[in-house]
Amino acid sequence: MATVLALVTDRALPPTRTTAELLAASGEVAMLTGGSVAAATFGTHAPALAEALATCGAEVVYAVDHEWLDGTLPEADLVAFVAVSRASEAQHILLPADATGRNLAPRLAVRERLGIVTEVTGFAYDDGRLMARRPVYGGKAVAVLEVPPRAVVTIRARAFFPTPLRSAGRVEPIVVDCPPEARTVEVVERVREDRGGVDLEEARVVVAGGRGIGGREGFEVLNELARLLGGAVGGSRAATDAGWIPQSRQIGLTGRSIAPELYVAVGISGSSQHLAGVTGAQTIVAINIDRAAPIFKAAHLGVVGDWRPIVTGFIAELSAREQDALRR
Amino acid sequence: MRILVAIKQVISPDLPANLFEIDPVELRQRADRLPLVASVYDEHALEVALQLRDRHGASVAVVTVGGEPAVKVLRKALAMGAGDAIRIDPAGVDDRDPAVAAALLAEVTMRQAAGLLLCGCQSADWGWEQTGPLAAEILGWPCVTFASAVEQSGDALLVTRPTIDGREVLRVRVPAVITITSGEGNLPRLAQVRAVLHAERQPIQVLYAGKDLAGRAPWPSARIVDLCLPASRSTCVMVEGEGPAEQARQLVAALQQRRLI
Repeated sequence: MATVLALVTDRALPPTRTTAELLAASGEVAMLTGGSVAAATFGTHAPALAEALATCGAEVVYAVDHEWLDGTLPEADLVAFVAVSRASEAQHILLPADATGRNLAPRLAVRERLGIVTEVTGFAYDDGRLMARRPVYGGKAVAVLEVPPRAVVTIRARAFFPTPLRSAGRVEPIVVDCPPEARTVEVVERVREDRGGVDLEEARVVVAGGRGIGGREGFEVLNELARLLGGAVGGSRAATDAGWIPQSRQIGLTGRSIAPELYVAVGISGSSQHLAGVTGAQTIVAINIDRAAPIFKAAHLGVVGDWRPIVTGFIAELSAREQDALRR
Repeated sequence: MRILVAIKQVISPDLPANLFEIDPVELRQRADRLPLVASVYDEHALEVALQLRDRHGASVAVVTVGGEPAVKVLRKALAMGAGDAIRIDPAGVDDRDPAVAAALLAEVTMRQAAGLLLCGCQSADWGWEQTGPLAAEILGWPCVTFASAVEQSGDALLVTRPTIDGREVLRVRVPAVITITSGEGNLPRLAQVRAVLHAERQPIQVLYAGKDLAGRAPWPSARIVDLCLPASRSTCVMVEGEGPAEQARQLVAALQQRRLI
């Protein structure tokens, strides 16, 4: 019997990094509690995705293969989650803290009378009790929670390192009826605003701007810097709220969590809500006019001054190098 | 339609980090005389409610779970345009537990015969992201989280939610619970001076948890066993130089030295 159930919310094949992190976290909980891992996939690609996951650590992968689970009926997903949770008899059910997990994990907990712990960044085992760590107060503090013996847990992006798992498991199809109440919420339109460019989560370099950038036009300059560095562009909440950059590019607690090798924060003061999204960055460069800005407490390299001439100089240096490289 | 907006009072999250202190017994932030404000996303939720009312007609009530000082956020909400306000006094229940807040909100939502419960997507203090979805499940209502705009369309709502690469629009049948994130279209409005003065005189209904409302959740709570400061980060090396061009050159040199470019 499995003790840890990973609910795979991404439907993409091959499995995404989010899914790999989910399985890594599930493996960790199973190791700590002395159990095994089961996973579950949903939608018409569920069987193929289940086959892929069966070779990466899960002992059994439940495949719930229904068209109505293709991602346009979130309430239907919840019905499928309940069915799989019952079939697996798992003690701990893990989901990514993504759009699906944030909505459905607490609700699955209520429906099945389980405990709920969200946005976990690490686990420990202490005297027979599973403990979870998670940032609170916008990242100013870390709380340790005792995970109830039976609980739903969401894990934060970029907090667990994907590990290759080898044991091969079996795939088990599950059939669920779509109840009428599953149609109370329906996706009627999806708009892609982000065309091209490097994906924020996968980017090796991320350049982001904040309130100090002053407007849309300033982001054109950051785009050029990001292009030369081979990176992606994001913004703080101040910048996305002002509409200078699409909301989907927000970095921080309520936006995306990034883990680039190099993060360049321009005109970002560094509120704890923003810093919570960049804890995975290896090197942080801060360019800000205010020497006392909290971003310099998080940064490895800091430049104090008006961002525009500094970034213009930065771009000039990089363009010169690019020209040199082309000539050679 | 009656819309209920849940607002939480928190210690201002924008204070410098050196003012952040942990009470090691209570396992929460020490509050001594620090300024209290409305949790940021809750005010965006109120703005969404007020826009719905302005466009389609509705009555908007605000509710908070908190002690006497929390009246301040309710008065501000009244000044912004909410019709009436309710304070749930949490004396005797653990107000750190999102399950307690959710159970209390669900009870009030039923009593108010509201058709829509709006709250912030997460609070600025604990940030559990649970209150809205938990309340929805107690009510048996559908739920959408992290939405940025809500429009009425016949007897349903059209809810816009930012996604990884853009946005999506969901048709949601009411009654429902929606949690709100900030966005271009829902920046909280400013209150007029006259409205602020009027709000000071408006009555606020008070309900007591454990007496007027049960506030009990039938599922196990995760106990907070420790609260500590995060491990400190590395110290920042300042890139110096005469003027921005020289600073930029030094920065590029430092990045090259670290093999980052």
